[in-house]
Order: sequence, then structure tokens, then C-alpha cells
Amino acid sequence: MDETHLSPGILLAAESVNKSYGGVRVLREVDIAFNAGEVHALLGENGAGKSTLVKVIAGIIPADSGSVVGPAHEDGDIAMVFQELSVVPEMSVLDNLVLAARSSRGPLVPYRRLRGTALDALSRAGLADVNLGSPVATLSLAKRQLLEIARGLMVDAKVLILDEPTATLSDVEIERVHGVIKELVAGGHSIVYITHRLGEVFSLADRITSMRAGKVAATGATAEFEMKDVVSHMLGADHVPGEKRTPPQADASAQASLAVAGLSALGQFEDVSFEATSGTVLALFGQVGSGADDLVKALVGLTEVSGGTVTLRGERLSLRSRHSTQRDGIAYVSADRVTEGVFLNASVTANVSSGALSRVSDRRIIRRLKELSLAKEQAAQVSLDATRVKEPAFAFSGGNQQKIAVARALATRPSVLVLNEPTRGVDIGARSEIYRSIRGLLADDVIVVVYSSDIVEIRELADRVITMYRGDMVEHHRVDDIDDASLITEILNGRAA
Amino acid sequence: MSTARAEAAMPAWIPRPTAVTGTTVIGAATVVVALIAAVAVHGFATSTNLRGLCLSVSLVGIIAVGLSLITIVGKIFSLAIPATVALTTILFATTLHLGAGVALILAVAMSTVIGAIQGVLVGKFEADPIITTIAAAAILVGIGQIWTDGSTIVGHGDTTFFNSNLFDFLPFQTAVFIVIAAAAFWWHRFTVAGRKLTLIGLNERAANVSGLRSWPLVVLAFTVSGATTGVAAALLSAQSENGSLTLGANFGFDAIVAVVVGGVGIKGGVGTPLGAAVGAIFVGLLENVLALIGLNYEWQLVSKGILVLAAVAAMGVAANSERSA
Amino acid sequence: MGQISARTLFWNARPALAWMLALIAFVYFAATDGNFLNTGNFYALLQIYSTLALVAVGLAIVMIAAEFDLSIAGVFPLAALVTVKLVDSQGVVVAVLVTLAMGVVVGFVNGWMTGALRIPSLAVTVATMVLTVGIGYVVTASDLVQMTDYKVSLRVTDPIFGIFSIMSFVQLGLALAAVVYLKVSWRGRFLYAVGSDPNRARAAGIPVTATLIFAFVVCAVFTAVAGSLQGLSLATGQAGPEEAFLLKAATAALIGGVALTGGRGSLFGVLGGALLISLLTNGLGLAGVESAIIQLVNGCVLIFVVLVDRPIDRLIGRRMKAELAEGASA
Repeated sequence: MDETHLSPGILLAAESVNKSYGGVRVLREVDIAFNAGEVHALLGENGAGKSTLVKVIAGIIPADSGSVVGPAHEDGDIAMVFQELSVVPEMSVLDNLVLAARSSRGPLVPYRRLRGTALDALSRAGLADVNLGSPVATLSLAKRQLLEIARGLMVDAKVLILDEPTATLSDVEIERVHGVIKELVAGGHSIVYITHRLGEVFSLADRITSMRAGKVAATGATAEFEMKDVVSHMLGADHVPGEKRTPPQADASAQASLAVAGLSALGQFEDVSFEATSGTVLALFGQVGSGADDLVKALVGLTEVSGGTVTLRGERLSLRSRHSTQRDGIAYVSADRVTEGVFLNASVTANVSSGALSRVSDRRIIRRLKELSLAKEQAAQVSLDATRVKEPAFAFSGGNQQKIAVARALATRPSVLVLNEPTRGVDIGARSEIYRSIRGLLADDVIVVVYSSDIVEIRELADRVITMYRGDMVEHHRVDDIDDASLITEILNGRAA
Repeated sequence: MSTARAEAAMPAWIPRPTAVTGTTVIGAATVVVALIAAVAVHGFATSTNLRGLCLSVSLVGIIAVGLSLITIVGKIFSLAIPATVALTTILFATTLHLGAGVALILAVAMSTVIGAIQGVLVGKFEADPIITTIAAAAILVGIGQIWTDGSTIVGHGDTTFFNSNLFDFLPFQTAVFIVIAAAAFWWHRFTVAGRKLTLIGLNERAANVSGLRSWPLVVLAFTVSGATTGVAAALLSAQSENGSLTLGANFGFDAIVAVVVGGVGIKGGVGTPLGAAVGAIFVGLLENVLALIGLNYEWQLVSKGILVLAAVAAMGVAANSERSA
Repeated sequence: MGQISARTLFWNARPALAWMLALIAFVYFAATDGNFLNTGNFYALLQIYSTLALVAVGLAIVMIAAEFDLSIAGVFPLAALVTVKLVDSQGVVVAVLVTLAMGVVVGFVNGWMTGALRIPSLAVTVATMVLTVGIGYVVTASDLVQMTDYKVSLRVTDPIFGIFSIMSFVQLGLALAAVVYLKVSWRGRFLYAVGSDPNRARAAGIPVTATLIFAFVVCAVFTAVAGSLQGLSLATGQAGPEEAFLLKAATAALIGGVALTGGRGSLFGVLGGALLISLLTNGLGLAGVESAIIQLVNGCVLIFVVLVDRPIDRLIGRRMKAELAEGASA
């Protein structure tokens, strides 16, 4: 492939790349180039196409049309560092590095030769103080992240693709990772940096590309942008603020309330206080690591609380376990649909009744009629095809599975419904149906608390929003009274805009 | 009105189709083999043969039904069954002089407690079930050794009722097997606790999110398994009125085979106690037929092994293809 | 209190515990039983130890891959039977080769069904166990099988340097070779990665099915070697499952620090665990204790070691936190 048309310094580039999955266009005519000695940040909401794009340029999946060019592409000098760590915790640092450098030459591991490469990779990744013999399980999360980078360096990759490398790290640890990246860049590497953290982008990146709906929305040197430009590029100029929602109940006297006072969990969030009332949906908004997701988990008894109280209708809740919170009337829709959101191998009916078994039984014997009618009733509430309730959950799409998870929670007739990222990975159609069913609860005196990292979801679902940053509450707003850019700035910087 | 009735008559609870297929296939295969044998195999349809078949199937079946609860709740197996059987036969023979009924009650009480202790260790203290039951087996065998000094305990009592035929044709052990299998099946399918057992086995985390606690059901599964093992052991001992460490040595793996062949998934949440019962019947039936055909004991075992291998492979392949579909 | 690093504890705590317990047992028996410390008894001890160590190492390899092999209970006696049956007619070499081939076949079936068909190994190995026990009965036609060439038995068990024999040399040699091989080979690294998380390993391009087949074949072949030598040494074989032996091997591996969850454990620790179990068998047996009581003691040791796991993990956790704190302030 003739690369003379590429300016010198470009290690890797994509030209007019298109990619579709099952009829859905994920990448549209994407043109992007990555230079040596640069950190190039790739921004965009979930589903914008960032992950697919980097997989295409890394050569992991093929493009439908267009091409990937550049010396790094020719030599295969690209390493991808995934968001889920690929290191084996039970093995030593050396062994993990060795596995990354695997060349199937002979049955024995050439430890002597690879040791030198490993030490070199470690020191370039800022891990010179780590012992090769240490089990990875004894390394902190930040060091494991750096180890992932070291793995990429074992094969001397010129282009390193990092997917959200600092998502779960503390400030100090993030500094460390940034330091390593700056050194790598000074050494001529090209870093492709996917992140949601706009603050990082401005302190670290030389170049920014933001994507939306599979297209490049904007690209250029960092100096050319301001933060709010970037935000609006990500969200789109024609960004629809969301459908009209049913107005919340105004009757203040009959409202039940969930009062949180001084709630803290060690290492996760501190001294959070707010009140959630029935008739309004309260959203907690923050990035991963802000403590907002841990806070909702604490409300349902899945995270240990170290201080503070939670009272429901004046009664103090123990939050000791998921079992006790369910008994107290708190239902939960988990963010982890696949592992714990639904019973994939059980029918919809069995899923729906799983938390409400006492409701469908008579003296501990399950009444099929009651169970079936409960399933159909809940299916209707979440706009799921009621004629399909006998089918197993794995036969449904992701969006419909999420509806089953919501139906499951609703079937328990809760006083409080807590949702964790309720429409992550769910298609638009199912999303609005889920929002509709949740908003419908407002007429039933149910208190709804939802955590989300998606601004559009907050807009469409919530009446009030609390922003959180690094374990602290930032502000409490009425959703209608504040704009997107300010909200995002609050969760990125910890201060009102 | 009538359509609603018809709809309600269909089971709302659908375990994975493979398990239904697995159990129904084995069930169908059992019926088919039995019919063919009755017609074509010489000596099958005699009362002597059928009685022997019933006896051998019943004891393994009783144990398998209890064991299936442990598998369904997701705790794989108990490897302590042979040891529990041995120790229980010893207790039964020792106390037989107090009366067969009393001996039975004492024996089952002991085996139930043994099961419950393991259940608490595995359920509440989250110990690994394999390790726990291996260790339990070793301890039980040791206790049995101390008790009997390696010799056989000869019981003195009247066990004729246990060895009799009810209504002149149904062996008592088989009646017990049928009652236990039916009760376990009904409990698993229709009660809240039975449903919880399956849900926990299917996905413990999802069950937790729904507000269910696992440890009570795990304890229950091990306790019931202990009880059924004790019943089978007492009936075994009643056959010879002896008790020793050598009795019931092959019951452990026979029960596991019955559970696996009967369509109970090892990962948990799939299959029913009825499946385990049918698995026990099928394997026993096959062995009987093969023996009557003239196959030596050893070739019966080989056939059993091939059968189990084929059943395991078939169910595994079916499960994988369904998941990826 | 000496500041042992978290790293050292992680790798060595469990193997050290196993060897320490073995040492304690050794000292105890040496002190309390006059018949313990002599060449004849050491010979007997090594005979037991070499057999158990070989099979335990094989099972441990499968356990590190996060699987289990119940078919050992069938392969071990079958190997003895096949070897003994063929020695008279075909000679020792052919007999042993056929036995090893049998082991390879069983191991391959176990590994392939577990890896390629994704069937839980407990289900697969229950089936192969029943199958191999059945084949064992076929070989014997339910009779005791014997070989008439006693010279072979004597050769195999003839004491070398007083305490060893060809049998124990071969078994110990294979076990040690496995310990070393796992440390220096690619296959060894793959084994731990697969045991830690097979999906992640697959995504990283590690040949998971081939690794599993390797593990099960090694386990079955090691068991076949042990069974074959056992048959040769006793000049006889018996049909029927050897569950007690399987449980002993599992106990030795667990005591040595190999976890059922996979991805962890040192084969060196397994050698220590096997030594402890062998010492208990030998020493208690010498004192006239019945085998059932010895099994009881084994069970108690297993429970003890499993209970000690939690404080060890907590200790590692504390050392880790302390080291992190030191690192942060540095």
C-alpha cells in the first residue's frame, strides 16, 4: 500500500472507514490520523463508535470499506490496552509480561532473554520499583493499569491504544499514569486515548477528536477547543433535550420520603445528605469513581456503609443486606444486566415473580394462575409482549431483557425503586418504554432514585438531579433549571460552572 | 373462559428446554426400553427379575433424589455419601434390637444431622462443597472405624416389614422411593422454597438482587440429602440386618451418575429431582436388560460408562448450541 | 516480627505450611516410634510417597486449570490390570506401553470434552470413571488377575541405595520433571492463565482447549504409570473403583496449596502435601492404626489447612496495605 501520501510523522491512519453491525451503521466515513509523539484523545458518548473505531485501526476487526494505513499498520506495531484488565492476578508480573510477548518458538519460555525486555518495559511504564516476582494480585489498581501498558511495550508497539485507562483511579494514581504517557510520547510513541474525563483531555492531549453517531464531529489540536465546545460536539448541535414527560404530582402532603443523612462509605463517598420524595424522580449523576454508583448500591444494601443514616417514612433502615432492604420495600434494578440483572435461563414469568414469590403463592405454594397474571400485568407495564412471558429470558434482545429486569423490580410493589444505569446498552425504542414505565410509578406513591452517567437519560427520566464528584455531593438541581454543559462541568470538576 | 383455563394448565415455569428435553428424553427412553424388554427380552417380565430390579433401583434412586437438590442449588455434589451410608448402616444394625422403626428413626436422624452440618459449612461459611464433603467423608469413616473396629455389626431385630411386598407386589423400598421422589418433585415444582432453590442455582447473584438469601436453601438441600441417604442406608442395612464400613461403597458414584443422566445440570438451576429419579431408573433398567441379554457384569459397566458419556456429551452440545443460537 | 513481604507470603505460605507439617509429622514419628527410623521403613515410605506424589501432581495440574478429574479412581486400578494381564504374553515393555496409551486416550477424551464441548469436567470424568472401572472388570472377568513372571516384580521393587527402587525413581522422577516443566514452559504459563479465567485467556489468544487436553492427558498418564507400577510390584490387580486413593490425591493437592478455583498453587507444595499424607499413612500404620482412622486424620488435616487459609489471606492483605502505604509516601 502506497503510503507516500501520508505526511511524515503519521504512524497510523484510517481513511473513509465504514462499519456496520447487523444493518446498523456504527462507523460512517471516518477519517482520522495518529501522529508520532502525540496524545490523541478520542471522545464521544457511549455508542458513538469509539471502541469500534479503535478495534478497526488495531486490526482486530475488519472495516466494511475504506482502509487503515501507516507504518504502524504495516508492521503490526499496535497494542491495545483494554478497559477490563487482561492481566492474570494470580501470576507474577514477569509471567504476565512474558505472556504478552509470546512467540511460539519452542516449548520453553526464554526467561533470560525476556527478563531484560520486561525490566525495560516496566521502567518505561513507570513501574521501575515493582519486583518482577510480585504476584499481580498484590499490586494496586493503578499499577495494574500501568502493567497493562507495560504489556503493550513488551512487543515494542509504536501505537498504544488506551481505552479509559483512568476510569477507576484516584487523583494521585491518575497523575502517575499521565506521567508515564508523557514520557512515552516524548519517546516517539503515539497514544490513542479514549476517555470520558474532559479534564484529563485538556491537561494531557495534544489533539482531540470527538465522535457522534459513528461520525467524526470535530477534530483538531487541543489548543483550538474550549471545554464547552467539546461537550456540545459530543452531544450534537441538534441534540434533542428529550421527550415531554408526565408532569410530577404536586400534592406535597401525601408524599412519602426517603431521607439520607450524612451517609458515608469508606473510600467511596462521604457525608451525603438528601431527601427523595415520591412523585419525583431523583437522579444521581457522576462519573465512575464519583461515588454516585456506590451510593445507590448502599441504598439497597449491597455496599457497606460506615456512617450516617437512611430513613424511609420516618423509620430507620438497617441496609444490612440486599435481603433486608428488599424486605423493607426497596427494589433494585442492577447495572449488570448479564450477570445479575436477569435469570437468562428462566422464563419471563419466573423472572418477574422471583422477588415477589410471596405475592404469587398461597401458604408457600406457588399459584400458577397468579404468577402468570402477575407476569402479564408487569409485561404490559414495561411494554413487553405479554404473549411471550413463557419464553426464556435469553430469547429476548438486550433492551427487552432490561425491561424484564425492571418488571422484576416492579412486581415487588416497592416503596422505593432504585435503578443503576437502567438503560445501559439498550436501544432507543426500549429506552423510552422503560422511562415511561418508571415515570408511571410516580402516580403510585413510589420513590424513585436512579444513578446514571448518561446526561440524556437524566434529562428524559429525572425531575431532580444531584451531581457528585470524587465522593462528595456537588449540587442539587431541578433538571429543568440547568443546562447540560453545566451539569457535565460539575461532575468533571467538582464545582458549579 | 376456556382458553384461560387451557393456558393456565400449561406450566408457567419453563426450565431451559434442554433440561426438559433431557429428562423427557430419558423418561421416554426408559419407557421404550422397558416395553421392548417386556416383549423381547426373556426373563425380564418375571416377578423375581422385576423385584430385583426394583430393589436395586430404589436405593440408588432415593439417594439420587436427595443429591439432586444439592446439585440444583448450585453446590455440585456431596462426595460424603458412601461414608454416610456406611456409618448409617452401622447405627441401624446397632440399634435394631430397639425395633426396626426406632432404628430407622435414629438412623435417619443421624444422617440428617450429618447433612445439616455440611450444609451449614457450605452455605453459611461458604466452604467449598468438594473439600467439605471429602473431609466429612474421611471423618465419618474414621468414626465408623472406631465404632466397629473394622468388623461387621450384626443386628438383631425384625426387619421383615422393610423387606416385604406391599399389596403383594410392591417392594417396600420401591414404595419409599416413589413417595420420596413424588414429594421432592412436588416440593421443587410447586413450593416457594423449591422455586428459590432453582433460582439460586441458576444465578446466585441475580437471586441476591431479588432479595433472596442462599444459605437457608443450601442448608436445606444438604439436610434433605442427608435424610434421604439415611433412609436408603437404613433400608440397605435392613436387607441383611448388618452394618459395616464396606456397605454402600458404590452408592456415591451411582447416585452421581443418576443425577447427571437424569438431566440435572452440574452448574445448577437446571433439572428436577424427578429427573434424578428417572436417571436412576434408566440406568438400573439398562443394567438389568443387559444382564438378561447375557452381557457379563463387566460389559454392563462398560455400557453404563458409554451411556453416561454419551448423555453428558449430548446434553453439553445441546446446551451450547442453544446458548449460541 | 520479621517483615516478610506480601510477595513472599503469596507464593510460599501454603507450600511452606505443607512442608512444615510434613516435617512435624516426621519428627513426631521419629521420636515416638522405634521402628520408624530405619532403612526398611524409609523404603516403604518412599514406595507410598512416590506413588501418591505422582498422581497428586497430575491431579494438581488439572486443578490448576480449574477442573477436576474423578476418573483417576478408575484409571489407576485399570492400569494395574492391563499391565499385569499383558506382561506374561507380551512382555513388560509392551504391557507398559499399552497401559500408557490407554492413559493418553482417557486423558484426551476428558480434556477434549471439557475444552471443546465445554462440558463441566465433573460430569465428563464421572462418565470416564464409570467407563474405566467397567473396562477394568472386563479385563479381569471379575477375577483376580495375576502374572506369573515374579522376576519383573522383584526388579521393579528391588531396593536401590536401600531406600529407593526403580518404581520410586520413575515416579519421583516424573513428578519432579512435571514440577520443573511447569515452571519453565509456555504450557505452564498457559495453564495458570486458563485456570484463572478461561474466557480472558481465550481472548488473549491462549490455546485453551489444547491446554486443557494437555492437563488431562498428563494427569491420566501419570495415574496410568502409577497404576502400572503398582500392578507390577504387587504382581496382581483388582477391579473396582479406588475412590479412597482419589481422595488422598485430592487431599495432598489441597494441602499443598492448589485451589479448586484454579489459577493458583505450586506443585512443589503438592509434593509437600503428598509427603505429609504418606508420612501419616506410614507412621500411623506402623503404630498399628487402622486405615480408616488414618483417613480420619487426613480429613482433619485437610480441614485444618483449609481453615488456616483465611488468616493467611488476611495476613497477605495486611502486608499489601502496609506496602502500599510505604510506596505512597515514598
